Amino acid sequence: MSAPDRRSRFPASQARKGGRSGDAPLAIVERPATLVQVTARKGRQAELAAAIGKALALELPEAGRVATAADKTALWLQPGSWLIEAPAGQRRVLPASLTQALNGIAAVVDQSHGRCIIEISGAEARAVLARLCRLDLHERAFAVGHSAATLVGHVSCLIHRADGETTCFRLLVGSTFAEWLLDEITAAAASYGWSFNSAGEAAA
Amino acid sequence: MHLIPCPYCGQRPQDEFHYRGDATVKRPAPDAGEQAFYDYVYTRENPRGWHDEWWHHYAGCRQWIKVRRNTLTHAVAASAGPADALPEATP
Ligand SMILES: [Zn+2]
Repeated sequence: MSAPDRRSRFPASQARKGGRSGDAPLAIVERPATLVQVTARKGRQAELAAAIGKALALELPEAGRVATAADKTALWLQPGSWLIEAPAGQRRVLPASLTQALNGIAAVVDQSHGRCIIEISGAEARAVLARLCRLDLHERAFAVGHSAATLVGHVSCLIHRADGETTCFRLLVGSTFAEWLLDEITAAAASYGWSFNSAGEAAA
Repeated sequence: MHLIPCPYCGQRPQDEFHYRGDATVKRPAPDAGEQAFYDYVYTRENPRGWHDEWWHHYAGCRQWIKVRRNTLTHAVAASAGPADALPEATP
C-alpha cells in the first residue's frame, strides 16, 4: 500500500522569480496529483473503457486527446494505455480501487511518485514553448483538450492544453527530469519574466 | 527537418524516433538451418529507393511502426502499426 506523498519534485528550488519583469510573466506551478497508468490486457480494451466509465464516469479519449469529468482527467498515452489524473488527496484510494475494478482487464500502475505535472500559463506560454518543443501548438492545431507525447527541452513529456483564463499548458514529465525541465523553461522564459511555485508552496 | 508520419501521433520530427532496421525480414522456420538463421540475423539488402523499415517512436507513443521510406530522396510513402501491413507497392 502506497503512503501519501506530498513531497515536491523540486527539493532544490524555492518559490522564486526570474528573467525580465513584465505585466504578465509566465507562471510556472508544480501541480500535485494522483497519477495512475492503466494499460488494457490483450483484447480487453473495450472492457477497460466500460469499466473506467462505470468506476469513474470517465470516457477514455482517443489518441492525442484528453477527457475530463468532475475531478478526474484521462490522458491518452499510447495504444491501449491511458493515464488517470486525480487530486493529490486520492493517492491512498485511487490506485487500490482501480486495481480492484480492473482486475484481469488492465495493468494498473501508481505513477504518482514517478511523474509530475508542471503547469505553465500566461500570455507568452506558447512563445516560450516554441523555444523548447517542435510541435505546432497554435490554437488551430492544438486546442484545449489536445495532448501529445513528445520532446520538450530534449525530455520526453506528455503535453496538453488546459482550459483557463490565460493560455495554459501542462507538462507531464518523469520526476527525475523535473528539475532539469524547470531550468530549461526558466531559461527559455528569461526574456519575458517568470515565477515558480512548487507543490508544497502552492498548497500552503 | 525530416518528418515521419506516426499512425498514432501524426507527423512528428525524426528526432522522436530511433531507426530499428529492415521490416521485411521474416524469421525462418525452426528447422531452416544455420545459413537461413545467419541471413535472418545478419544479411541485409542495401536498397536504393523504396524500403520498408522499422522505426521506434520512443519519445511519443513508444510503438514500433513500419515506415516505407525512399532511401534516395527520404520521401515517406506510407506508415502502419506493427501488426498492420504497408500497402502492396509504391510506384
Ligand atoms: Zn507515435
